[in-house]
This record gives sequence, structure tokens and C-alpha cells, in this order.
Amino acid sequence: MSDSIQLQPTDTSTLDASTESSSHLDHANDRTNAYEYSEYTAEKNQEYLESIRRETAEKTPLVCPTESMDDLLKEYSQGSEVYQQKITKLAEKHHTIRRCRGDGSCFYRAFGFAWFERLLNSKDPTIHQNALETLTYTKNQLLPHWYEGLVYEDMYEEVEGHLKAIVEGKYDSDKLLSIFQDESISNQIVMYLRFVTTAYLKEHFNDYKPFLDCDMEMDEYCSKYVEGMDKEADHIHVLVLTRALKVPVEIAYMSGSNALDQVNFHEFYPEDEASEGVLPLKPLVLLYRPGHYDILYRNE
Amino acid sequence: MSTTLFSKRLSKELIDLKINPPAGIEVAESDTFKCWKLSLDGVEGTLYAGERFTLEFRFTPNYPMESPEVVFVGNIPIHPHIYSNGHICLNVLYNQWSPVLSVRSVCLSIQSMLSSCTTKEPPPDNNHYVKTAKASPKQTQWSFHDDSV
Repeated sequence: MSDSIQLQPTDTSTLDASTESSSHLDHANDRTNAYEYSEYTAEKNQEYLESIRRETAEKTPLVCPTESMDDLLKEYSQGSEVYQQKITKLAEKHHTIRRCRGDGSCFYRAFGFAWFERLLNSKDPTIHQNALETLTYTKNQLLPHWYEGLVYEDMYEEVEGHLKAIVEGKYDSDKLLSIFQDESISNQIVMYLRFVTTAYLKEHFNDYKPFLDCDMEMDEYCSKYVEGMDKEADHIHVLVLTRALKVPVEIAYMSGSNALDQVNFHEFYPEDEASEGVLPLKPLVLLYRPGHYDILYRNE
Repeated sequence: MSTTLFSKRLSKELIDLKINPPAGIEVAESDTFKCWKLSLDGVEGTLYAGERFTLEFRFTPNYPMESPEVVFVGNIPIHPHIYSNGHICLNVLYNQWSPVLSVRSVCLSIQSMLSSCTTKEPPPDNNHYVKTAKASPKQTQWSFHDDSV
């Protein structure tokens, strides 16, 4: 890393040519010369921050074993009092937290794990059947409108294989954790969830266009903010994925700015179930701290 | 596991490209899953009509989670986004790569990039870039300013 930022003698003729032309054309910056003639941009800064975040994140398992709320509280023992109070409040109704790696896919991974774990712990065959049917629907009806089969079929088979094994009682919670810690399997599950999100967004373009806080066409939005493996999920992604897979989710939003002893929960309930007032599947509970999602376990 | 996805996916892509090749695009070499060569014909009615180019794709076992390395080899098209060492400035090959893309869609993007070109000229910083660039274009820190050329 250190040798990649050293300054080297500058060939001024080339430098001038490239900086002048940057207004109308792309140009490439080799890393060794990036500091000489690339303009500082918010985008570059973002990329740099992301590279640091990636390096730090790789030390955390993709999905961690559970920890107590006390462990979470200790993280803030030297820090924010607001957070301490909120965690204490949260701990009244939640006993455990499960961290996920902060690699840009934490929402999808947390969602995937918590969903599979719910199904693992549920003995209700209707719930199992519904989950399998919804998943099959995404592959047969939703995705084919938007993508060539060969780009998602393998990932679908991976997801379906594990879901079936769970429903058939072949997995226990250790096995589930090991699957989500295996980078290849875990990332295929995450990518399939991204496919479902992006296909559902495209399918319901007109409904969701007003939610996008940018003036983009849906294809461009999806390729910039959903499809890539490091693109973080926003409110709209959560909304869409919970509807597409008919999985209710509650998210505890921890921010430093709200009232001290309150934690705001946002409920994302699929429309059908919410309107009928029945939720066959208990909502997954996630914890959101700025830029990151983990899984929470509620006292039941 | 990753080897499984990687080889399953590339096998499917290869069959698909051979059975149903996009116009002007043909698999020329695909002996291994490490490296493929595809020929790309300039589209009629564009500046590159009648020319044939070769694209080289290099895959890692993390494909499709990770982008392939894609360069022109041999006869390099003269184009404002293509350097004379074969490196291509196209965002889907780098920071906008996603597993929703494929060898086919990358070839089509590059073909369309050639077709929409209005002036055959090399990138303005070509000489400097070619002197300093690493062998792999994925080592370059690209900036993407212009989607319209």
C-alpha cells in the first residue's frame, strides 16, 4: 500500500494534456500517479473509504456466532452515552445479537440468515411450503423477465438446495452458520437476494420511482445501487425484498440523534399479510447502526 | 464450492455463445476456463465496419462474483476509450461489474461502445498511460467521466 502512494517525477507535457482533456473524455490514472493528476472527487474519496472498510471487514466472519446484549453494550463503554442508553432499552426486549461482516452486503446476508433460521426453527409445514413456493416464483416468473437464465440459475439452485434441506429437517443451527460463513455459498445466497430485489424493482418500476432520491432510470439505478456485490441496501431495498419474498422484517434504527431512551422500529410487512392482520412468519429483527445491519433476537 | 459455480457458469456461457452467438461475436479460443478469446467484428455502417478485433477474457475462480479481466489483443481498435496496449476504459469491467453480467453482455457493451464512436482517435493520455500501466487493467484506478462516447 505504501509504495502505491509515493509521488513520482511528473512528465508535465503528458500531465497537461490529460488534465486539459479530462473535461471531455475519460482518462485512466495508474495508481502510482493518481495523486499527481487526478482530480479529487467525492467518488474517489468514497472508493478509498470503501477500500479501508473492506480491509477491516475481512477480519470479521461473514456471519458471527451470537453475543449477548452486554457484549454489545461494552462496545460503547468508552463512547456514546446515547448509544449506551439505547442498547439498554433494546436489551429489555432483545437478548442476543448476531453480527454480520460490514462488506456492503450485510443487509442481504443478515436477511438471508435470519430468514433461513426462522424457517429452521419453525415446525409449521405451511410456512415452509409458502417459503419454497415464493422462492420458486421468483425464479420462474420474476427473474426471467429481466435477466438471462444462466446468470442466476446456479445461485438459485444453491439457495433452493439449502432451503429444502432446512425444510426437510436436515440442517441444525451449526450447519446453517457454517453455510453462511462459507464465502462462496454465502455470496451466492446474497447475490440471489440481490437478483430478487432488482427484478422486483424493475417489475414495479412505476410504484417505486418516487422513492428513488435521484433522477435515474430503473436499469441504471439497479446497476449502480443493487446488482454489484458491494452495493449497500437502503430503505427501498429492504421494502422491496420483504415484499418480493413475503418476509416481514422489523428494523431497530439506532442513531445518535433521537430521544435518549427510545429506539425506533421500522416495520416492513408484506402488504397482503399486513392487510389481513395475520403474519404467518414472525418478523425477522435486524439492528441498524449507520451504514450497517446485524441480527437481533427478541424475547419470545 | 467457488470452483463449482465458476466452472458451471462458464460451461453454460460457452454453450450459449456457441449455440446462439450474438451478431459479429464468435468464440475463437476456449480451451480452458482461465482464458478465452473472442472475435469481434466492427458493425456495418459504423467507423469499424470491415475490421475484426480479438478480445481476451481472463477469469479467476471467483468469477462471476469478480469481474473478468478483458483486453483487446493483436489489432487494437483506435477509439477514445481504448488504449493502444489493449486496455479498455469501460465501467462495467471495473467498479460497475456485477454477476448479472456475462461474457456475452460484456462483448455487446464493447461492440456498442465501438459502434457509437464518431471519431477514430486514441485516448488523449494514451502515451502516458501505456508507459505507466500495469499488465492488468484491473490494477488501474479508472475514472469514468463520459458515458456518451
